[in-house]
Amino acid sequence: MDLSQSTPALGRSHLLVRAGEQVCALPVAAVRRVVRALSVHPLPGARPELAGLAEFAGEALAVLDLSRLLGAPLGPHPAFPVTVVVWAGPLERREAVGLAADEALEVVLIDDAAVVPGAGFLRGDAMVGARLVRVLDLERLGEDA
Amino acid sequence: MSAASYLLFRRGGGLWGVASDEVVRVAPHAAGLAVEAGATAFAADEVVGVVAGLAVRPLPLFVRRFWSEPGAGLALHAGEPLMIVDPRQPPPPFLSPPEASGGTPDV
Amino acid sequence: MNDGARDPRARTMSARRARALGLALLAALGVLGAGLLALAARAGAPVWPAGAFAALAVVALALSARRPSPAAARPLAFGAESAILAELRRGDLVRAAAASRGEGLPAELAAAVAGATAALARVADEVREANVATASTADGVARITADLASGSAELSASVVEITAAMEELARTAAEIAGRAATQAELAARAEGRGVTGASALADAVSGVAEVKARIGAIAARTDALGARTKEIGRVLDLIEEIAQETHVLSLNAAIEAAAAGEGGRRIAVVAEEVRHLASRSRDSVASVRALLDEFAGAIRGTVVATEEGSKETERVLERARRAAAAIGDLREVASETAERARRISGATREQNVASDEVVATLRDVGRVVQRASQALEGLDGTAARIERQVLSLELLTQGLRRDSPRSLKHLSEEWAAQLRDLPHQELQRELDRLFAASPSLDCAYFVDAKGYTLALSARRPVAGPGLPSEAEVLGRDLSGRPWFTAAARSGRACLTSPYASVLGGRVCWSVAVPIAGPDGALAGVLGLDVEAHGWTRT
Repeated sequence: MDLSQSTPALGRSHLLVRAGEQVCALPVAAVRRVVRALSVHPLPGARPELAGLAEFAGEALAVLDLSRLLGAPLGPHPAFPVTVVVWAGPLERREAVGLAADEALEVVLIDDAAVVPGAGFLRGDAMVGARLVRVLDLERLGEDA
Repeated sequence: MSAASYLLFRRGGGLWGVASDEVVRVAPHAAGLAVEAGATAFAADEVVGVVAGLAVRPLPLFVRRFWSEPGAGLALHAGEPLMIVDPRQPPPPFLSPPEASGGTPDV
Repeated sequence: MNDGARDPRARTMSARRARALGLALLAALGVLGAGLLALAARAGAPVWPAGAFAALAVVALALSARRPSPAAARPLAFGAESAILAELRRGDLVRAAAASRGEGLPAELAAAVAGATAALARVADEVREANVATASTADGVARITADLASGSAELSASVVEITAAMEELARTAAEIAGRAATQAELAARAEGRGVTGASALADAVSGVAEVKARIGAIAARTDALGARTKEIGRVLDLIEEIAQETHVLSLNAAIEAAAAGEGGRRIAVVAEEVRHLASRSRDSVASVRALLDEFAGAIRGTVVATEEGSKETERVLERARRAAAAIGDLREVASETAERARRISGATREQNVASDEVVATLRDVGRVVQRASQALEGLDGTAARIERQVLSLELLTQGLRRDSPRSLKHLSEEWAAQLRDLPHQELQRELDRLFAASPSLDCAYFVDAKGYTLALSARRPVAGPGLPSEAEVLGRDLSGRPWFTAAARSGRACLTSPYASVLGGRVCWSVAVPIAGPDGALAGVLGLDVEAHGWTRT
């Protein structure tokens, strides 16, 4: 990771996580913390994307299943699943929400120019090394819910 | 809303609370219990107890986005998140008979 | 006759005549006596002929001892006396008696002659009868001898058969004994091998048990290894856990560093290093875990193998136990077989001894039978000798013509008298009639003066296959035959010596009597054939 770029690194830093068989890139600016997968208490009658409620830093927050959000096929059983606590939603009303992922990989720099645009929450795709990653726009998470 | 105390009970793997003022009684029902509050009877697996001083926050955006049932708020008790339910607007899943507990999502 | 006027010359002549008569009698008796002696030598010969003989001998001596008396003198009927003597010499008692009844003979001489001839004739008859009895006895002896001979021949044959069978049996018994001995030896060897096999098996079993123990030890160590492996696995899990946490920590550090901008650069570097460290740890853990998995796999494999090995050794042990049981059975059977073989050996040895005894006994019997056979042969010879004696005596008695159907000379003379004057065409008929009345004769034939057969009567066919044809027999010139010439010459009945008949080779003899014609010349010869064996027994 090269931080000696003239462009502010923060804007280009992304955390790569694997959800199922899909690798996503989460903008570091929106990432609060990566933690070992939180224990989730399900809400009866909730949609499958909502895994349930968990406690983090003295608060109750919703935990979303990232692979279901992406519609990614299930991958191998995760050895060390994580919950990425992010700030998501519209900037003025953004809330902390947990994203349940199978694996947290690394922090990389992704240029905007490298992102092939997508739609909404799914900002676009980019090549990172040999990987094709989905770059997410967390401000628009849950927009089409 | 934030009542003085809430009756906490477990149901479908989660922790729930209802304002204790609203609770009429708790009675055995089928294989579990029924928490009768107002005109509603909430099916319960277990009653945890009555807890005071709960800090109830309104339901987060993403809960509302993915859970269409009416919920009164979120709280935390002993490190465990819980949903506050309103007897006047009970989420239908809670009213199902104990056998059918509604689509419990698997995580 | 005038006794007082007896001519002394006649007395002397009568004494001389008496002496001559006595001597002639003695001569005749001497011939008979030999036969009687021979007869007396046989057991069962009647005693009284000896007495009669003695009486006659006394008479003969008395007669011959009479000295000529000078006082007696009678005119000799010389012709009659010499005729009597001549007839006596010839043995013709009938003619002698007839001659004595002629004129010119003193009454006492005539009476003596008559008495003597009658006594002689009786003696001859009695001798003949005794001979017949002897012949029958000889026949009996011959029969018994033949029976004995055939019996002994059978016995000999049986002895030979039995001996052969016994020897065969002995050989078989020896074979059986031999085989039993071989069996016993084999069984003994099998027994020995059974023992060896059993001990080898015991070794194998103990070896297998050892292997089993070692397998057990391996299994125990394997279990220990398995447990250790699990512990290691748990430690690895822990290390993995720490690595993961460290990883996440490094990410959070990187995130904070990014948020800190320029100031967070050093933190970011450190975070990166930590992430690498965590990653390497996780890699190491992964390698170790892979190795551990391999090791666990190997251990599991070992466990499976040792379990298999254990099962296999169990199976081997089981097989060994079964083999041990089989060897035990085999030993029992082998020992049983050996025992049986020994018993068979013993039994066959006993049998051998018994067989040998039987064979020895049979050989003894065989020798006895052989000696008996030889004795029988001797006896057979004796019977033949008796037969010959019988024949001789018969011929002897036939030498005296006497008035008896058994005197062939008399018979032939009588027949001759009846056939003398018959015409030729009636000869056969008369001959047949006479022949039919004498069943003891074999054959009768009438030949003319030239020797050609005019009539023939026979008991057996004289012509046919293998025999001369009828034409050959009848009409054959037999004038050269001894009986023809003897009869023709002597003018009276003659006996031939015994000969073998052309019809079957049996001993026969013939009587031939000449027949004079009215002119006194020879008209023909009548012959009678007698078969010795049949004649001497009638």
